[in-house]
Amino acid sequence: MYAYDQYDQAFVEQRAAEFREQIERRLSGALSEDEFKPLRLQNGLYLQLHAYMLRVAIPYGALNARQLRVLGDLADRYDKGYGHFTTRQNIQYNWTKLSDVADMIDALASVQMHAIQTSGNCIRNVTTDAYAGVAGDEWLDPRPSAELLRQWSSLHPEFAFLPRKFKIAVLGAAQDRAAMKFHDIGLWAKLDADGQPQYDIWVGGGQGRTPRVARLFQEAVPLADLLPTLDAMLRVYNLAGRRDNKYKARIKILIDEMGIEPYRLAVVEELARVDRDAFATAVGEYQRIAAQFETAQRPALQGQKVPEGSPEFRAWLQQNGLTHKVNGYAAVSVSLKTKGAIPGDASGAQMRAVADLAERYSAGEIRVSHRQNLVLPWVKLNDLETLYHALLEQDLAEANVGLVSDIIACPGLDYCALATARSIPVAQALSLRLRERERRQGPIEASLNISGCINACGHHHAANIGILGLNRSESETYQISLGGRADEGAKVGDILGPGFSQDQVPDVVETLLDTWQSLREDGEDFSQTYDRVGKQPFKEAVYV
Amino acid sequence: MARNAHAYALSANDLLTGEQVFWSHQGRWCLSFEDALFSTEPQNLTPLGNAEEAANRVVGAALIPVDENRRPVELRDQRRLQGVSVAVRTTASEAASRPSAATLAQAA
Repeated sequence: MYAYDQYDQAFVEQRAAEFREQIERRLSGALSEDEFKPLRLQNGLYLQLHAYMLRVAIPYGALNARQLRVLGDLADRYDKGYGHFTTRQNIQYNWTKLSDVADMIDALASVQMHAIQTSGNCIRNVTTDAYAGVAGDEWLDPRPSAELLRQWSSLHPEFAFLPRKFKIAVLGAAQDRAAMKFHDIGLWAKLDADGQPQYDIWVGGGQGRTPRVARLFQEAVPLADLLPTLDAMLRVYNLAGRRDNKYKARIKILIDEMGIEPYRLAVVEELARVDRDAFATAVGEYQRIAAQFETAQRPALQGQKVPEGSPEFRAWLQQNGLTHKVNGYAAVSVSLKTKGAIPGDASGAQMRAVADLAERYSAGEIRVSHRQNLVLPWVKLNDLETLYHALLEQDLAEANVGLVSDIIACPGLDYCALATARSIPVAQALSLRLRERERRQGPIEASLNISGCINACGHHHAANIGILGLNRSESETYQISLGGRADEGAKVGDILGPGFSQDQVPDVVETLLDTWQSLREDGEDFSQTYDRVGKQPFKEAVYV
Repeated sequence: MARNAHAYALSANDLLTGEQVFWSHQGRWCLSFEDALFSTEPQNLTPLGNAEEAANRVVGAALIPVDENRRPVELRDQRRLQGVSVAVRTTASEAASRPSAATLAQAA
């Protein structure tokens, strides 16, 4: 993993001290809420329905055991015993007190973490594949690129007040496990003929009220040109992006209005004005970062074998394991979607337990996935069954990663001040129903995501079955969309029709699954069946 | 004026804790909606909320429209008053294993 150098450490410590002083000035009355709000938002502190919420950045979803242990301790000491892992690989604490926040941030800084740029109209936490560095289908580890972008974008003076927030994802594998095409900018890292990094750049993706799949901006951009190109892309957006209407301020709208070719030409013009000398050290810095990740890679192991184990163990490994790029290891997901649980929530005790297990069985590394699960990326094959039993003791061995019960859900109207409907109770009711269905039928590979408002933090647009909670005449209504997907064939789902009440949703979802299972041909996944038969059969089944 | 509003309560978040609070009959903030002051004249409550915000006691002062049964008219207020829909997952065993401030400082 990347370890902070003295500049990184000084940066987060200075920022923590600065924010402590700002909080003290707010509590003393020297700062009004209007003056304090932009300062707290730049440090990830929101005011939600019931309390302040602190959103902590987990850069590219990578944690070491010490960091996860501190996150667990923060949950117990300053929250109500749990934290919520989000779809942007961050963690949120929902019950923080303003007077505790400075101590929380000091604790984070002590383990090379922070909450900077997890809010506001700036470049947010850069995300990537939760299996980065270990996935069998990977061409290039995307984490050095993501770290380079973290350094470039942290407090970038030109991009601190963009028209709207800006999200970047980096991918380095054949399969998209980072929803890359639903980001403002997506980078698909590959190797050139000489084995050097190059990037296909995608732009203008996003969800929210105007969902868009990103469009290809440029192929095969060499590493040396990456940051100048991104700088030019952001500059054009910063200057031309709309500021008159926040609902039309994302780069996807600019590209809709300008067209991709005029945008490309504007970037080329801007690129000619970019001071290349400012980026002279970028390639060297990338190599320095990459060397740290390479050092952490493990050599292949001989004599490792997956234990025979129980049928339950084998089912868990089949569902939650991923083929590793290094012989002798497996990467396994730790599902935070146990039957009836709140998607993405983990207790402080569970976080500490996973940290302990990571130290014992996964080289001390943990990842957070955008599907709100954890990953142990370096498990020796011989250790898999022991790990499984240890996870079972913590209620963390649910064998459902990638199944329809592996539900993504935002906090919704239980916590979020922007939400229009609750999503947690819907997710819990569906989890109970769908785990039971999976027990009867076996694995059901489909995606189901729930958002509590049109901002789509629960990625409902990008799911095979998407559920959007809306407020219709002061009642919660749940609108269904079908056929979305977040992988390399990214697609926005189609709205099925009028919404349903909360009580109706589980039956509706079961009907949709029944319909798919009755219509699918051999080997088809949900998207393939939907693309072949269209919306109508599902509509007829649901609106009888 | 909100549709179907019979009266209004004044709500805010406590500056320090962020908890939802209500302006009470006693002329101070309280945690229970049952103790809230209800007024048919929102123009009297709004300046009060502004003054309390200016005094740095609360944040986000806003009116809650209620019907004749003092039930919030708007879904957002209904859900906010109900609180989170699930029990907070702090079990006795987890609570017992909570770290002390000293342990946390040591870990950090």
